[in-house]
Amino acid sequence: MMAENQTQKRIMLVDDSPFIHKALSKALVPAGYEICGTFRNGLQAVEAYGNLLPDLLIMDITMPVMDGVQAAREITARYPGAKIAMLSAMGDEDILAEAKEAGALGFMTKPFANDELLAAVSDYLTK
Amino acid sequence: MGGEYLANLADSLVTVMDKMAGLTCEWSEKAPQLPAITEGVTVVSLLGFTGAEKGRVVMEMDIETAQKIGEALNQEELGPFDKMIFYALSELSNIFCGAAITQINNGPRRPGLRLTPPNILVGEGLEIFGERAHLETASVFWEGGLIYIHLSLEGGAAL
Repeated sequence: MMAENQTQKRIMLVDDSPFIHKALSKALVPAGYEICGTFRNGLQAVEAYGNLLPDLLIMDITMPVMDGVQAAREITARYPGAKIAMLSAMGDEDILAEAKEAGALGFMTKPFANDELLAAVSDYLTK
Repeated sequence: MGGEYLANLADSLVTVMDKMAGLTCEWSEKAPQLPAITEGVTVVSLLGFTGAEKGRVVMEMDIETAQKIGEALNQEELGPFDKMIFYALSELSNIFCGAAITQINNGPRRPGLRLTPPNILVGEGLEIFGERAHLETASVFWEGGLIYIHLSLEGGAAL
């Protein structure tokens, strides 16, 4: 759990699967993080990011309407300090390179173990 | 190539079922010839892939198996036809196909395959493929049920 004097970090989730929203929330909320918004495609993320300004955005890649790489590109162009971590079932070398080029801080693959997720989130938030 | 892809998909589903739901499964290429139109209430998840090869992957199971796997993935009891069952199965198909395609993409041929998001269908008498479609099918079985993985590569040949 988070120390009392530590500011609660706000995390925005973008994945087309409500199952993933639920799984991530079940891991992150008990660890002291606030889920400040959940969205189901990249376009929704681009539109909402400026209003929410989360400490970290966790985003899928393969989504309808706008994929996560394109959304990361648009968000980092408007908000260069944005912290974005990609979470995807696809993790080949080309996709990793695309995500990095789009401004993502890091990459996590599904399925995730909660302890690995929490370690990665903590790491991204301190970068 | 179809056989190699099917083996990658089946291996991946076995691994992901264990990681996500703690379910121990085995798979076999010896799948029965299934009817073109499904019997009973069936749940299918359809995914496409594009790149150097194009095709379709279908995960198919009966509703009782879907209920059990959906509850295992959600780690809670759910009512019949609860939407979280189908969200979970949709994501299961996305994850095991994504892992399999990642492995294929990182292999020597580097076909650059990309997945399309899954679509879930639930109902009776579903016609997923035409009768003349060329399919390769694997059976993934565990103590609570049976899952079929169908692979259809564009062009129809047993690539």
